[in-house]
Amino acid sequence: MEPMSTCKLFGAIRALIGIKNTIPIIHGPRGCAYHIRYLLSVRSGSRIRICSTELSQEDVVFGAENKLKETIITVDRTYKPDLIPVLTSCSTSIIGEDIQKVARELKDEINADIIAISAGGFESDQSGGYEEVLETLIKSITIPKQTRGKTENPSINLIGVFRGGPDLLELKKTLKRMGIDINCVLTSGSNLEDIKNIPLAHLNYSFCDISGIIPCKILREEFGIPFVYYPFPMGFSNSLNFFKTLIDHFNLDYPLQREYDKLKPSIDYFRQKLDGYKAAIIAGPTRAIALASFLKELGMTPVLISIDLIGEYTLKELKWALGDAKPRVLIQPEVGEIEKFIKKEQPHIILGGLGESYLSYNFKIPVLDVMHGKELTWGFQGALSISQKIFNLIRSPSS
Amino acid sequence: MTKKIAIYGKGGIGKSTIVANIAASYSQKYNVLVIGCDPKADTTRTLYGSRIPTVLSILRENKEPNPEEVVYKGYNDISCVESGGPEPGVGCAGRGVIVAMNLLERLGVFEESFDIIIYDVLGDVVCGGFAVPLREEFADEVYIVTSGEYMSLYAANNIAKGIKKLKSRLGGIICNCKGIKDETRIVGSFAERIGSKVIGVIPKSELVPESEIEAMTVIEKFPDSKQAMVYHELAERIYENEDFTVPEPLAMDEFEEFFKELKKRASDL
Repeated sequence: MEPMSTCKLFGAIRALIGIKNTIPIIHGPRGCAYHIRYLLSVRSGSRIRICSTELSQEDVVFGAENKLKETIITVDRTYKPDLIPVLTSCSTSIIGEDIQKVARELKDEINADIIAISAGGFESDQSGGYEEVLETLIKSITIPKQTRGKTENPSINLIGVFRGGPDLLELKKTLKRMGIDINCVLTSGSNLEDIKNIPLAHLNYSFCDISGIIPCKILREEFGIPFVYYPFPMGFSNSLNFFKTLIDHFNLDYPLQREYDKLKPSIDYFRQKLDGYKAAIIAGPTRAIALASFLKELGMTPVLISIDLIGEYTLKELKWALGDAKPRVLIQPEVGEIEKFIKKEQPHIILGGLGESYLSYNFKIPVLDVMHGKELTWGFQGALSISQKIFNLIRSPSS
Repeated sequence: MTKKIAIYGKGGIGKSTIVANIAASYSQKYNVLVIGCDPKADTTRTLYGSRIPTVLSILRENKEPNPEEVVYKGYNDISCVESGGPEPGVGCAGRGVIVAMNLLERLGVFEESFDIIIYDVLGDVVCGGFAVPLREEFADEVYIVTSGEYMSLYAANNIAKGIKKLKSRLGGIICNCKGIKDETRIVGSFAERIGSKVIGVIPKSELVPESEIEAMTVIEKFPDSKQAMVYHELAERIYENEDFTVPEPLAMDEFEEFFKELKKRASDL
């Protein structure tokens, strides 16, 4: 009744706007474009461009194929994007607007590449949107071009990354130091050329439990690229194991252990300060698992873990990450359930996103936004930054 | 190459009877798939011998069914599918057609080696959903069933509008006689006016209701009858047909004028 997850259109848009110079057009009333843009702008702290055919009552009754054509042409001429994805919303999925046909018809009339994605909200939750976008990109751009060969340096693709910012920058820098290139990030910050060149990488790394696995399997089937999906580089040992997996895979000579050992005094310091504090995690599956083991690493006790949606490997990995910890785990919960258990478990801190900030007012418990696009959360530097912020909030919750 | 045919026409005009009988005819030589796209879900009844569960009702129980759960083998091994849909007065039947067709595509039903696929679509192209079988990836050619009655021709003209709008190809008009005076001439003139032709004339026959009572096609129940020959002949003509047009439907006043003139000429004769 009060869901914590959203619809296919949201997932599709979020995956698409990661691609450089891409302007999606939502064929539907204006609300879909407005709300998704609003939410994603706030969460990312970036300007996000999403267009809409702004359908009226009349358009839904009579069909609005021409309006869609006009909007596509206007977007193409005005913004000169590389890619225009056209998406249906609930209304146009119901009335059966044939966006595939429109895309085919306008293909040669516009400069941008065009793809059509059926994204009526009722068709699935957001994971269906992520997945369909990644599959469509692979099937309409990567596979037809069939780029041959491999990059000279060891290189990887990150599959299912929809957030760029300092995290991606930090990861690129660190991997470069180790001698590993990031070939393509699907989708954050990539352009169409990068997506075409996906087959050049030696390894795929899934960064999203609910949408990264199937694309990785398609790429393994099609191009023989192996893939790994765990761990997610959030936390000290998760990052250590993440880098170690890659260094071992490519058989590289890199003093990783020495780098980690240098962090030990800091880790010990935070452990000593944070030991015994209780925390709640409200996140998607990939981050929830990583954060659970990270908190344990800091000596904290995860008492509540809320996961919006789960993937094929989520529960297995979660069990492994939790070890002997026994938090209450809520899968695809209702908003009210989370509140009930926050009240009951009384954590000292909540790790979540902007949507959770109200909890800090209601329950007088500090909330750390670990989802924001401008935060550094990955790798050793990310782990240090999160540890420091948790420490600050717990020590002086008012700040 | 698979021949992909969609049959449209006013509700109750006899589309399903024609579809089932030509499918039965094709089945003697070819591998045939029949897809009923009507919430009533009775296209394949005479082929299977009873009503089959519909794609949409199966989907309500199981989100990922196997192809064997939605495709039923009927008379002479004809593959039968019914899209199904909501009860009258609720929900959205058009969306139902979209969902059912998407599922069939996802299950790879169309990738099987069918020689002929026939879509039997509800009365009229009333909304986007009912136009789905006309899309490029589904049917390649359309036939309209009509009698010489005003409402039936009116619906046929509307269907022609849908075909034109979707840039589909019209293969011809099937005249299903209701026993109106001068019926074949009326339908013939209409076909000519919209830039098409009559591809077959089905006379009224008592054998149709008789075989339908027993949930059989005329071809199965009365294989040697004259009526069975009529269906064989229609099937043959459709199979051989290579003459397709984008129809030029009549405007409302043109249609009224056309019909008045026909009646006048009929009474003058």
